[in-house]
Amino acid sequence: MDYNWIETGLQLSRPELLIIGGTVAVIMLSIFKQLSRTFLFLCSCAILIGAGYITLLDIQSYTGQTILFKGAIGYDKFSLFFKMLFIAIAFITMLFSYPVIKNWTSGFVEFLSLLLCCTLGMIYMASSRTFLMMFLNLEFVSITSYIMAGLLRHNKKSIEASLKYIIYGAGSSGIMLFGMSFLYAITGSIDVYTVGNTLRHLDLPNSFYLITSILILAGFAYKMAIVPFHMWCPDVYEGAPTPVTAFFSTGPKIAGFAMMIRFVDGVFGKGSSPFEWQLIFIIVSVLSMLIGNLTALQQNNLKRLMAYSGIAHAGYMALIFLTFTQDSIGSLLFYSVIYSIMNLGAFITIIILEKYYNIDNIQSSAGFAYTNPFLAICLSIFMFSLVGLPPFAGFFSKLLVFMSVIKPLNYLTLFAILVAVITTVISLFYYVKIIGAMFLKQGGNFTITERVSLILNAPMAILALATVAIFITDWDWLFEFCKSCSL
Amino acid sequence: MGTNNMLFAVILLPFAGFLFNLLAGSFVGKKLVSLVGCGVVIISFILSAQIFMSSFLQGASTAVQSNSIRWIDVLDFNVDITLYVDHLTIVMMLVVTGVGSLIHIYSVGYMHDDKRFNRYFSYINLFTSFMLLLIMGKSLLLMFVGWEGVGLCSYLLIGFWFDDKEKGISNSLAGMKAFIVNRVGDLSFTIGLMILFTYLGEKFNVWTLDILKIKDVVATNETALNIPLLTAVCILLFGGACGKSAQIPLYVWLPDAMAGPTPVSALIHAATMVTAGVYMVARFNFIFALCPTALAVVALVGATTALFAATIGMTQFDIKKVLAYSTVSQLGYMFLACGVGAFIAAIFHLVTHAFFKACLFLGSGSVIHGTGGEQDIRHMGGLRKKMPITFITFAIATIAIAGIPPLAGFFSKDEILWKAFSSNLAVGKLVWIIGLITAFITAFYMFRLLFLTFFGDYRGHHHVHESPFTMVFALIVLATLSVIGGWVGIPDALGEKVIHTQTNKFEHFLDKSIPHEAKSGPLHKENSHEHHSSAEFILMGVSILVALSGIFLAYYLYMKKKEIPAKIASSFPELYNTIYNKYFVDEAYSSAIVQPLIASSVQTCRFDNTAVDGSVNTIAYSTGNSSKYVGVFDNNAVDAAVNGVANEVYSTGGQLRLLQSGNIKMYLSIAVVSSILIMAVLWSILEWKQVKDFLVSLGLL
Repeated sequence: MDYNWIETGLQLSRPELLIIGGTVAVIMLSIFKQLSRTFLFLCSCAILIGAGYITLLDIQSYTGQTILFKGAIGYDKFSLFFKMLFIAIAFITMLFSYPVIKNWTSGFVEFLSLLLCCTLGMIYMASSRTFLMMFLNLEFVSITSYIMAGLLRHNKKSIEASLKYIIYGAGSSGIMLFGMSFLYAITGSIDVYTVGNTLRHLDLPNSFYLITSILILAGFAYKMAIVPFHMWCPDVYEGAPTPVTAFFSTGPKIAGFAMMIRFVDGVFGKGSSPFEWQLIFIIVSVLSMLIGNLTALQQNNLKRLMAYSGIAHAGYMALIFLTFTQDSIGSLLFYSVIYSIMNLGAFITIIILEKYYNIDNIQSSAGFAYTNPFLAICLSIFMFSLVGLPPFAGFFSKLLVFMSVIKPLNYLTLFAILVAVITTVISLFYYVKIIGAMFLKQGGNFTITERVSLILNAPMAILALATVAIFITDWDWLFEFCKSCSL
Repeated sequence: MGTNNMLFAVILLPFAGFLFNLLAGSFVGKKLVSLVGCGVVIISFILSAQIFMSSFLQGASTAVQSNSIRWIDVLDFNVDITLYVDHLTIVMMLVVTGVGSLIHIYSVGYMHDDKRFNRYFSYINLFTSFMLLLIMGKSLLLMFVGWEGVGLCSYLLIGFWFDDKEKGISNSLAGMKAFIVNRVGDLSFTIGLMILFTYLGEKFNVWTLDILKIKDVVATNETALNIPLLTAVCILLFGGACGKSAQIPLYVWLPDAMAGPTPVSALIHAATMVTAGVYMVARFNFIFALCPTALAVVALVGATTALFAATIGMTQFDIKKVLAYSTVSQLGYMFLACGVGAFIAAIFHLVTHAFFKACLFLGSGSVIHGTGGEQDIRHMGGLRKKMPITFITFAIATIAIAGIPPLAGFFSKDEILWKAFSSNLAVGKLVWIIGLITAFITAFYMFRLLFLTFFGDYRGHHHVHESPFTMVFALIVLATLSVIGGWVGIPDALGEKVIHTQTNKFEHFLDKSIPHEAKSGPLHKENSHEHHSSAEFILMGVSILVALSGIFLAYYLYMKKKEIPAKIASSFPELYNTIYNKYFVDEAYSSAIVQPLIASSVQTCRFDNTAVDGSVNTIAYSTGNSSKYVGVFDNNAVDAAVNGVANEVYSTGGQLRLLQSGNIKMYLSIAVVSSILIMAVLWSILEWKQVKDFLVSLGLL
């Protein structure tokens, strides 16, 4: 028998192997009480830097498509792109979590190792080519997420978040598996591309496609936090430790999108399909944009507000499925980079507000700008960027998505874009509400016990700078690169 | 009724009985429950007999099979629900439904005062149904469904008295033990099946679980097969049989399984379910016959188990435990026979064993019933006069198991010993000697049981009475079968000498299903006929002699010199204690597997404290608080809704927020309902024409 595939597979999975080995090493090292927390933290960072470096080398030189592990894993620029993105997200998350988690009585090592594990799961989510791998990695990410949400085990909200997440996640993945079993029963394959090819030769009724795709959507959409599978999101975001929330709002969400793209590309394909699956995405993305933005209007808690903002953004991102061309996938990749930057940045400001000033809602942040103008300015940059105003990167990401969607102009896409534009205007209110509270209102006295850690300030400043810089400088290369990584 | 319908009816009738007794049983009264419970099995038996008469005794004498119902249909991989009955199956069907009917009837009397009478009958009906599926399924997957199903029923019935005041916990523990030990075997079985499936699929491109197709592939490619791999498959399959049929090293669950009601012990743990392993090995005879190494393993494990369990049986005082070890030992005999290639002899012994062991168990049940729940034979004695019918039937079955001609046990056991002796395998003579020693011990401990229970003076305090008719009836029928049941398989050598015909009808009958039989197979010597029969006569004499001496020893020790057993026990205390405590196997398992498992999990836990501590504690902590918490949240949700309607209608956002009540059940319901809504909306858009037609037909448009 030929076992070369194992060797090839392992050779091309060096970053993953590094993360696996590193995670185990961090856990093992944590047994030695002499080793300081800083050391473990540096080790974890080094692992991510190493994995990121290897991926960077790969992504520069690699073109083409390789299928690893007998079809289970797709190794192409698309998966390499997300590998890079997820490692970057995990690295930034790890950096700004450190000041928070280093004071935890328990859960420090758990946070580091689970973050690494979750990153691994996300990487594999983006490269899964079979239902089995998709399900396994979705569960892998979910299970690590459940634990991360409940890491503050003396905090009722954290436990509640974890438990709700588990129940909701179990329900959704059950529904998804049910849907997948339909496809398997009809086509006899778990490889998405084989399934797609087989389906094209079968004349199946619309009802079959409808039931199957919506059942499967349940599993994916819950990770992406799209309406109507978004309900867990605000509660979990609010209850989970804030660094974890920051991570949830970017990494697993984008991983869900990556997996969805791979799935749609395999099963329905870019060309004509026997079933107008785009209709489903019109409904869910319009619902997400509406419900996400409208509900956010009423929120006072910053983390809940970010949760609804995340739901709304998932709606914008889901628009690309309406056309699903190479361009639109490219624009989604671009969007996910920008979204990660501004969302992580926004969460860093929330962490600082929470940790040093004990502020977790809009009301109590009134007049904050006079205490820490630097932070208030950074926050404003992120907020404006999240709205999609120029001169910030968020403007381009939204613009590119809208443009790629509107290309084949018809009533449906026009309707979707109209909703998107109107809800964008709505979103301005709640994002600016925060800025308004900070700058325009008179507020209380904000005392600070210690200086804000550099490890929080520096990433925040860099991300804010990046948000502006991407707009000002030549962002075209980034979009071209994203397009070249598209499926 | 066509054969097709009859085959399905055989399985579905008991299943219908199960449903009826489970769902309606508690309303309709015990009479109807017992009528339905017994009736369905008896009809199944009549149908089986009908199939046997019409398709096997007369006519073409070939296998029959039912229509196929497509069950799994995924491209090249198909599984049909097909019932297949050949000579081997029909024998098993007759045993399962026949002995099963008797035990059902017996249960009416035995379980009469039980408060869960209907549940009991629903369980044993379900068991019968699954057992029939196990033997009649043409696909291995169906067989596996039956295999797991009978395991489930066994678990349910062992722990049937889980609420007993004194023994409730140990009863349910016994059930769990049986279930878990069987999982070990099932794992091995499943792996074996998967290897076989993948191997035949990849090598010959036959992806099938159909037993006949597998047989064809193996037969047509006999030279191209990878024998070492198949040997592994055989040993793995045999591992499954070890679990189900209680062979070393997985036999430990069967003695504990006696915690269940006695008719259950008779039906499931003596006559039918535990023989499923033997049936399975016999079913796969075409593969086993190709792998001498696997056969040697089977033979040695069988022989060792036979001897090992018999020695334990010598020292036990619980009447059911003695019978349990005797069952393990007799199952060992059956595997011994399989191991020397004498699959037919194994099935023959399975049949006769079903008769006399069921009779013994039911007899012991009758004794327990009559003495008011006493199980310790030290507190019995002298029951011969008080329970005459029980005594006579019990005695007949005891003589049968001891191997005295012309009772059933003699013919089957002798057949096995002869096949082992004449086998060409290296282990043949060895297992023959072990078998002979075991025969001696069997005769000894069975008569010890008989003497201690029924002879001498009564040593208990209960008012002893004979059992009701329903129970005695089954005993009489089974005792009769224990006498005459062996006559279908009188060795040819004997028959030709005396009445000049071939008398081993059983072997000639099963020849059609199991062609790899001793005489012609590669495993046995081509003896000259004369030599053959004279050697067989000598061996017969030897085994009768051995059995008689066993009986005599028991008589001498327990009737004549009653003080000697205690003396022996006290002069070899270590040996006696070792055997009395079942060689400390349970303790060994506990210290070798269970304790290390617990210890290692403690260690792992300690290690993991740094890694997974958070999640574990989170869940533990939250279980305590969640209910309280959910309560608080529900209050908040309701309050929010009420206040919300009043105050917060000032914007759409405010209303939408109310959905976010914090109630997780509502979240999931919203997800499900809205998914269905999306499906409905999209379906009506895509299939607008149909929807329109529908609405028009309703008069709405």
